[in-house]
Amino acid sequence: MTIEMEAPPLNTGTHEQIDFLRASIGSVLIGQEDVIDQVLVTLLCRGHVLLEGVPGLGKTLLVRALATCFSGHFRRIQFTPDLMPADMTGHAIYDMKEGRFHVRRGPVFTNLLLADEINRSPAKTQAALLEVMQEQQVTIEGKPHALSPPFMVLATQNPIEQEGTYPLPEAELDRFLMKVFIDYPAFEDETRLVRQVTGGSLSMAAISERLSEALTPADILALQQAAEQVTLDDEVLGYAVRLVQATRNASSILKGAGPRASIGLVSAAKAWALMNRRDFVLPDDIKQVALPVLRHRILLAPESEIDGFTPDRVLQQLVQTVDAPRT
Amino acid sequence: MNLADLQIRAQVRTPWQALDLGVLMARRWFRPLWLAWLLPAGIVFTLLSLGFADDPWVVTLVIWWLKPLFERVPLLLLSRYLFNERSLKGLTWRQLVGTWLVGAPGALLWRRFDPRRSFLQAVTVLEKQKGRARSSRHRTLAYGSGKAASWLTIVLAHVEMLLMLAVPVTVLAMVGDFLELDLLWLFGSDAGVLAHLSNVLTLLCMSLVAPFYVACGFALYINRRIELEAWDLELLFRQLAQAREAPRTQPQAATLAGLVLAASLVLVGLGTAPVEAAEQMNIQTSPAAAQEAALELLSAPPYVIEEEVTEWRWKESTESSKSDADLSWLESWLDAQTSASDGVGEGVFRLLEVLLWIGAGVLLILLARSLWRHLGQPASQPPVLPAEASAPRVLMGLAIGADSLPADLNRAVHEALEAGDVRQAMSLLYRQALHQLVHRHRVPVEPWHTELECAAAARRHPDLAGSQLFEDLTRVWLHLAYAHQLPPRQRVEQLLQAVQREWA
Repeated sequence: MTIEMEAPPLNTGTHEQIDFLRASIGSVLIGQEDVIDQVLVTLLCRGHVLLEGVPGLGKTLLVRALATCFSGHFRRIQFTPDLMPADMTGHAIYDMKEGRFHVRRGPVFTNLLLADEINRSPAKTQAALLEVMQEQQVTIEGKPHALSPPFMVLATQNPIEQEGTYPLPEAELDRFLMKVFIDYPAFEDETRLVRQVTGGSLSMAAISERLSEALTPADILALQQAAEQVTLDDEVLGYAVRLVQATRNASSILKGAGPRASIGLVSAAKAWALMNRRDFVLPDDIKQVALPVLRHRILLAPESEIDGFTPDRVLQQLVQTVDAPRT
Repeated sequence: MNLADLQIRAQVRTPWQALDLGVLMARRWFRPLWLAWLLPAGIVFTLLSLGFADDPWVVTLVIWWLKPLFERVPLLLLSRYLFNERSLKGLTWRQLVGTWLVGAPGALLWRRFDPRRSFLQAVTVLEKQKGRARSSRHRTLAYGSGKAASWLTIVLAHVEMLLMLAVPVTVLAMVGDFLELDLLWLFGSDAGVLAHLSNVLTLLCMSLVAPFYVACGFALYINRRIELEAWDLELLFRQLAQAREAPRTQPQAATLAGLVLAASLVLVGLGTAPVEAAEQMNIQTSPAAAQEAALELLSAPPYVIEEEVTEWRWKESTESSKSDADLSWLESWLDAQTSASDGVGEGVFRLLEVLLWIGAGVLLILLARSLWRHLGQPASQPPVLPAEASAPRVLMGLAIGADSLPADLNRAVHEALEAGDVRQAMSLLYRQALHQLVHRHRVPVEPWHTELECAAAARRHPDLAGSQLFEDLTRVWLHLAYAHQLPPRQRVEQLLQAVQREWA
């Protein structure tokens, strides 16, 4: 569906950096090009991503490789039923010698946070992430502590095991820019993956060595600013909003997406345009990112669920009811 | 047929009770009925399987089609069992074959899909009715029971299908999931031995359902006959008659003693009879007076029940009474025609029949003509295109109908360029291209398609696969529309020339 566009007026360094990120992560996470693209879009939008897939598909590897690419810090929290909010955010402890409180910062003080199996913890613990994700700060003992940018949460959840899990609250789901499905690789990709892992060329040490020409966190911030600078026509903006509003009027959807979805849709479309070497957004960019941005923000009507509809299928039908933008 | 030997209680039942009775009958005589269906069907099945070894589906189809014939012997058997005849003794082979052949063409062709088959089959097989007599008999019998007979067919057809599905599913359930079985072969979609096994399964399922189908239909038929011919009353009268005849066969001594006793009572009675009794005797001797007295008695309570009932009713409007009056002439005319004995009425109906036949003939000719045209169409000719009205007239907010575009594109584009309105010039070009795409090349484009999706649709179209023009136009248009980058005038003119060359 793509058409080769004419030479972009953007800084070519931007594209080289994006291509570097794509190629570097792609060389590690084999056969998951779509997932990599969507995670990079989220990174460029200063958003957070919810990865859904069975264990063993390289989710940790993806985050580790991404962190390595820009020399960022990477932390991982394994969510368990007994995890407490303070275990993530940090807490103040009293120093008997000095006679005052010291703040011990939790693992959220990082650039990339992998919240593994986030739905294993109860809502109280999950809610501790709300402030971190939205405000990019943590309040300990009434004092806000800002996180160093770039900051991104990559949460994972297992779609199969439902026993002993706590579904994410809607407020938290809404804070994830995208929900990305990570699936099994194709035969050829898996063959290549097995060959490289068993040959030793896909170990973390080898990856760190290969990604030695890493970017810096400042480069990532520059990329995020470049994504924000992408031109957006009013008609395309209107198209994105119409699309989100259509989710509120559809009979097959019980609860439609909120305004945060419109913001996310446009931001993601800008980032997607940038990743495709364009400095302006097309309606196709909106369509391209609509499913990962909207699928976790809508609640299907019971009759739709009984009929076997999935959010993706309903959204695909919905996109066909909204006319392409007027120009 | 001797009613005294009837094995069921002769009483009028509802159709549903009759169906229940049919199930009981099928259960009681299941084995002979099942064998009577399965043996001939099995022979035909074996022959067909040998003949159509490569096309197993033909076997099932033919067996299914011949079901009305296979149901005839069980029906005959059942009719004998019902009157306590426990075999087919007395029937010759010729009569048996005749049972299969009587009315067979109709049963296999135009009455094959009659849902009341099991109910009405007895008219042909047992009563040996033909032609109009059969139709008239069908109408008489079907009143009140036809619906139940149709439901019987629907329900048992489903039971048969369920059985056919249940066996493979049971096999799968028993095998478990450690063996990966292809479901399709269990349902007989594959040719070969498995397909023939599937046919055997189908035959067995049909044979299991058939006795119930025949017996239920026959029970409905018998129930209707009991109702119409008042078998229950006849049997009652027979019992009464037997009861009356019974004293005659008593021993002579008892009769003699009875006579002596009766004579003595009569003699005593005559001597003491009152005068009033004699007067009553006089009244009863006048029939007219007795009739009058009886009528008088009947016109008063308790023989007449007077009851006041109040209810709401619609006022009879003058229009309806008028329309009734208007139609009454037609009704009376039709009555007159049908009751006319001089053959005029028959003539009118013959004329109507001829007209109907002519109408049917014209319809057939028109159908044949359209079929001929369809078949005569050369294969290379493109299919008939959908109506132009179904194509979108607005795409991406751009009007692309012929009436919205200028007649002279060249002039309109140049005028826009002269006025410095490059966007207007490009819009005209792009709209013209979309118009050609949708209305000339019939590219399937939807209102929700974006520019890139239109370009992809054009690329897939065989007429436009090699052309770069639409892609060039789309590229320039996208930069103009969404990046707000105006193309140089020279580029617009190049595109204009290319559009004119392509779609002159």
